Amino acid sequence: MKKFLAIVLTLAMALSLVACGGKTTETPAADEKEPATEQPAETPAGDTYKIGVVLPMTGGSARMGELQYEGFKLFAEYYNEQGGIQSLGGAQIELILADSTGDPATGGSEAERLINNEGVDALVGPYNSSVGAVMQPIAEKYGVPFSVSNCTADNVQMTDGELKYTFRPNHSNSSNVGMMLDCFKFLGEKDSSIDMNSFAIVYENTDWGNSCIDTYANAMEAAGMEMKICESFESGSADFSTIVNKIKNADVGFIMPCMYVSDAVLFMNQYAEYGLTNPLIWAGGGILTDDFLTSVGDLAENQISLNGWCVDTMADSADPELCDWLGERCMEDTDSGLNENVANGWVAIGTLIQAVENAGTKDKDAVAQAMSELKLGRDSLALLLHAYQGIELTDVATWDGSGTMQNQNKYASGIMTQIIDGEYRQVYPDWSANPLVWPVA
Amino acid sequence: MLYLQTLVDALMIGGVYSVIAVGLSLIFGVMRVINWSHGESLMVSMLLALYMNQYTNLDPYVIMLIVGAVMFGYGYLLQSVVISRILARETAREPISCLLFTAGLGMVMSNGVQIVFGAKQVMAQTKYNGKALHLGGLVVSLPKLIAFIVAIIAVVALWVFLQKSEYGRAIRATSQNRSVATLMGISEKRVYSVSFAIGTMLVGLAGGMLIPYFSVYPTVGSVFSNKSFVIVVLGGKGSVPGALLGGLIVGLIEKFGALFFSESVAQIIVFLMFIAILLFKPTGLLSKDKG
Repeated sequence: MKKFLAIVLTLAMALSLVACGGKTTETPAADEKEPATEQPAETPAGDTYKIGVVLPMTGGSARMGELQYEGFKLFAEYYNEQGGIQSLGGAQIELILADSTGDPATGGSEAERLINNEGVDALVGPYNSSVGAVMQPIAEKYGVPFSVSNCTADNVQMTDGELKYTFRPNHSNSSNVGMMLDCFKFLGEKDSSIDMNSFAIVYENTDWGNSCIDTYANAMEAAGMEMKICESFESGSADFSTIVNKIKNADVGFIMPCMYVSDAVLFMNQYAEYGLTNPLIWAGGGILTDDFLTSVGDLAENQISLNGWCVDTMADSADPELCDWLGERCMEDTDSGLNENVANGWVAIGTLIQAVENAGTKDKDAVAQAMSELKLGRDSLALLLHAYQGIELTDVATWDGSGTMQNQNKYASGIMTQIIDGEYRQVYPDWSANPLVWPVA
Repeated sequence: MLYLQTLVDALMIGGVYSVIAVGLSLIFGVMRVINWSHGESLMVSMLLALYMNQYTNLDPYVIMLIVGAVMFGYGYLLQSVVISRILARETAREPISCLLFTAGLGMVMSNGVQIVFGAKQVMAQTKYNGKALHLGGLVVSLPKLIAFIVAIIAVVALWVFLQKSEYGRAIRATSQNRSVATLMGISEKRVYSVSFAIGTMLVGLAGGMLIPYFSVYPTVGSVFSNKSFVIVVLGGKGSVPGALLGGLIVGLIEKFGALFFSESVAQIIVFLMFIAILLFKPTGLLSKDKG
């Protein structure tokens, strides 16, 4: 029986490891490809550029991790098929996935494992801001280039000293503030019957949730708006009824929820049950997945959210055919169309690989230096899916000027999207193509 | 009205907590086995109910009964084929190997589901989603009201079964002294299997009644299982009325804690109470166990 018990427990551990990570991309064999350029002496044929990917593959944010991994995977697959990293003699991109579980301590130890045991050349990830905040000093300590894919909390790019290896090509919370406040003003002017001068904010008690208070809520208050309700909850809530009731009993203009998928679905349903009519303007997070759309059904229609991607951001993409192919592959692999998580992953790895191309070496200091010198335009491969006007990783002030985010893409800014006919469509700042439905029915 | 609404909400969610916890409590009370895969059993029940909802036209509460029956069979087989073998080698009153086994089983279940179905977080589309009764100014969520009623019926029925039926008396006798019960002609193995099956059946019912308002994903069980352990300790390990009372108390603390402070603070209060119960009344509120 002890043997049986041992087998079962071993099986359990093995299955969890399989589910958690250890995956690598399926890259074609080196001999099936023709090197695009002459092989440099220091780069042997069949060589790879190893990128450690830290994402939540289990736990409450696993779905977002799964989707973001798709962004990394599709980029690596596409790039490898195109001949690999040209300046490294066609070196193939190899992804080594590690599961953060969404937990900062686990994410940090996995990043160290990838650096010390797997010998990765660079890091990407990690979705959760709380994990990003832990990975940043690790990347700096070991001198490993780290391209942050999805953490929007300002503090991921902030430190007392100098950040040399951590870069964020995607937008931060502070990057969104100006656009967001302009949008609220626009909404208030569009229909004066809606009170856009007071709000309730409901946020999960994580780094990201708290950063929504530090940036969005504080910025709204600084702009003269009144915060009537400010409620935190632990991620993975079983019930929002009391929070919904508090909002119902307060004379609140609109509601800003900051939460991931399962919480967003529960909140949306309880909002409907209790007959609330306050407009919801989501701070991104869980609403930006197909899971939200399929779970809440018609309730999703016309919901407005801060976002970084939608079909409209690809409208002037440099390669529409490639966008279509990515959309089909994404659907095949994840049962979801393209979304912000995939797009943010694509930007992060695309930026890193462009820096490696420019550096012409795997040397970590040289790649970090190349990252800091990058000047990518709208037509770069990294910006295939996003509508940022470029990528330039430099010092950017926080929304109130009280701090500086280092190595932050100065062009990255979010947009406001609305779910129209089941699709995320851009309605601000440029709303001409998709007239905003306001007030939300 | 705000306080009355909070009271109603607390009772609704407390009832749901109770029906999930009572299965855990029953299994512990009879077998002294801490079923660490209880949350994962709930997740599998929700997943079964979700797929049945997607591929049949059955009402979710009919599906709930089917899932309950399926989980009864699962629990019976798991206990009679696997756990009984581990238990047979144990001499300790509260077998640690069973705890380790169920912990491993839980990992197999959640990771296995993630490998097969992915990490998607999906809620069933039923006619009950987002529906509520509006009674004056009072709002009562329809799926939660149904869940509350089912929970109360299930817990009361279990209590009556244990108190009044011949087999219930056999279960209670076995939980009190399995050696003497065996001498009285009661099949210990069968009692254990039926008890375990009832425990998983209750979690099956809970899984079915949760899908009209709760998302299904591989780790959803942990949302409720952590609270189940608190409820079992609070109500008294093995006590059916204790699980009901414990669930309602946790619901009340959570909702009024959230009303006066915040949801985050309410969770801290729940777990502070858990620590206090372990320190000052380890047998729980209604257990006859002397600890």
